[in-house]
Amino acid sequence: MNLEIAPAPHAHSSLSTARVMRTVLLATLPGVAALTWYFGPGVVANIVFGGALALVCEALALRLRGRAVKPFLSDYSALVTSTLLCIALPPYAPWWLIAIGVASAILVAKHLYGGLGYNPFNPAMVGYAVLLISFPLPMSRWAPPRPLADSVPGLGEALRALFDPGAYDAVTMATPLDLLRQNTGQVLADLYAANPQFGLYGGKGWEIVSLAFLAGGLLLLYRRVFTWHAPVATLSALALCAALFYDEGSSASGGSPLFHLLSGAAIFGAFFIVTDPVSSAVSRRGRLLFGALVGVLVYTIRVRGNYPDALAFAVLIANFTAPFIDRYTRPPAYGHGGERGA
Amino acid sequence: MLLESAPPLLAAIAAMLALGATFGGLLGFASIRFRAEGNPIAERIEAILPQTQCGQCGYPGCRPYAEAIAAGDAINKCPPGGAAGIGALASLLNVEPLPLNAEHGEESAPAVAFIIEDECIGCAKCIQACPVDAIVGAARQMHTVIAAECTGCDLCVAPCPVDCIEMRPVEGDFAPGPGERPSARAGPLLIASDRGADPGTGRGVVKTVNPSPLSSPELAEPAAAQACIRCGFCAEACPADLLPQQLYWFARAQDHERLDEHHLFDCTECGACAYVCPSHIPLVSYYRASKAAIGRQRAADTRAERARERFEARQRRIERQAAEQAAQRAARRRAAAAKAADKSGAGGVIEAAIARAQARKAARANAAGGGPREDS
Repeated sequence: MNLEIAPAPHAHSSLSTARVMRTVLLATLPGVAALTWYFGPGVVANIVFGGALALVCEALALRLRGRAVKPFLSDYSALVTSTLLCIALPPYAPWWLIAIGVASAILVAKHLYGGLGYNPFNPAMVGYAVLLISFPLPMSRWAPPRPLADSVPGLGEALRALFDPGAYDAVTMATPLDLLRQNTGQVLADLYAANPQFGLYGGKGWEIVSLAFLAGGLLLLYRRVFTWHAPVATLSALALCAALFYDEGSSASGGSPLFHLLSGAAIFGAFFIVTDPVSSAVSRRGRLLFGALVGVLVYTIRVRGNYPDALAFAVLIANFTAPFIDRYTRPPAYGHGGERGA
Repeated sequence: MLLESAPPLLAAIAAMLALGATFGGLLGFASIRFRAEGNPIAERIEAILPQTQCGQCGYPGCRPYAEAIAAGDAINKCPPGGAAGIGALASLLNVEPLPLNAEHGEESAPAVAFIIEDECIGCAKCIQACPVDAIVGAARQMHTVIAAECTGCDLCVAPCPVDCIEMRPVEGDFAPGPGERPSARAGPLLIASDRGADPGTGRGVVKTVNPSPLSSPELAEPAAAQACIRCGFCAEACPADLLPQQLYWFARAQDHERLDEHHLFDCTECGACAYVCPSHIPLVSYYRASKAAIGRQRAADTRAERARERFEARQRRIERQAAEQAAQRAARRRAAAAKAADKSGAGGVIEAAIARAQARKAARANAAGGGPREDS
């Protein structure tokens, strides 16, 4: 009999990286469905095209690095990265925009730093930041949501926008965060009355999309893919900052806490980007700090910075601090509570 | 006020003097308060040297060689330290690691001296040669080596007139080489499983496990390890609140200091971390291999420390004996000199007696001669 000698454990949970990643992909579905309802199938076209490209990039990078292609390709990590990036991109983006974004995310942010598990920065957010800095115009072209448009584009138009961007006549509209940034000298009530984009709390359509991503995030929490610390810290820091500066009147005071929570990428980011384990802090206290830092940075850049939304930059800046946070929030080992961890 | 009213030249001089006095005082204080005892670099070099005290470097022991290196000697003269020792010295001193200088011998596996007792004639020559007093015995009695204290320096082999000492290799263990994947064999073995015993089902049986969960996918053939995605599930699972993920990185980097700092030895190898790891990393195997490696390192350090202590104790004993001998010789010389002085003193007595006798004789002669003069 061939006896193999192995230490504990002699069984393994059915958990696997691929399964975790699949759960994350599954959890984006409500949000993607809401985006599709309000903005048309552009986001689905983005995700499918970006996903295919991400798999090609991943396979290429693995081949060049001399790693086994199949096991790494089947862990869904490249798909998660590209899906998150494509959700963040405006729908009906041209193909080259998606290609550059996905290639920066997979080839530069992930594989140049050593592949899965070694990237210090969130790859999806690196891809987004590259695009936002390099191509600000196509990155700000958001289609009007369903209640404001005559009709949302169909699948054919989505494909035309993707592969023949020159021929596609885009109908775009400023997002609520854009409006708030550009109009700092008004009374909020007037701003709301003058622009149909504003909804009940956030923007029309946007608030429902945010709530759909919240549902997906809660599913991930329920499945224990991550702990509550990072998303709760992000959202409460953002809401706290907004509450501190909001005066219920002028648009210069930056919008109500609920407006900030339900606008842009706040909820999507808090549940799907900040919780990326590779580039965030590890301990519970560390994740609280990391999330709070992202929340404060999102608010600061939204209200004081040059960009209407700020998730990518906030997350990238916070990624820098993650090792530092880890070093100073090391939880004490059992029985070593009195010692100082440093 | 004083400085403003004084001429600028005087003010400048006063300021310079004040500054000079202040900083001079600080430097003086620091030189006394933070005085380094001895040569700290020599001590750190000595900590790297293997403490075999074999003298192959050409110096009588590790401490003198450490001092010589600190003074600029080459770092590649220590065969027992080998390439690893030269590498450690090179990184401490920030110099190029050189290959071992073949003039001083070749790197060999650790060994201990063994005396073939049937052939030993009890000449005690090896006892004098041993730098760490690891051979016991007496003249015309059989000798033996204390294996636990022997550094394997080889110095006792040559003096033996009947060639009854041989070097025997130290038994090896399951140490994985650098860069090798840790084997479960690297540590103490606790449980054997015959996983994979049945190639038909691809399923195995583990001792002490109730057979009922056999149909569970949890007992399937272990999947290949993937990259750590830092999910932190392991830290959530650890009953001792350790950080299995950090331990894993440090184990791969063979960073023993930080492993210890992160309380590796508090790990009970329960396997909870590896059970939940979605990347199927055999975490416990890494910890076990690291524990074994640290244990070996500590044992080697303890041995080296003991060898150093014994070598120093021997040096002190030899010095003390030499001093005692010198003192005894001096005492004997003084006693001899005193005796000689006594002898010369005794000669004086005789001469004095002779002088006294002559004086008496002369007096008598005078008396005899004077009588007739008185008579005449």
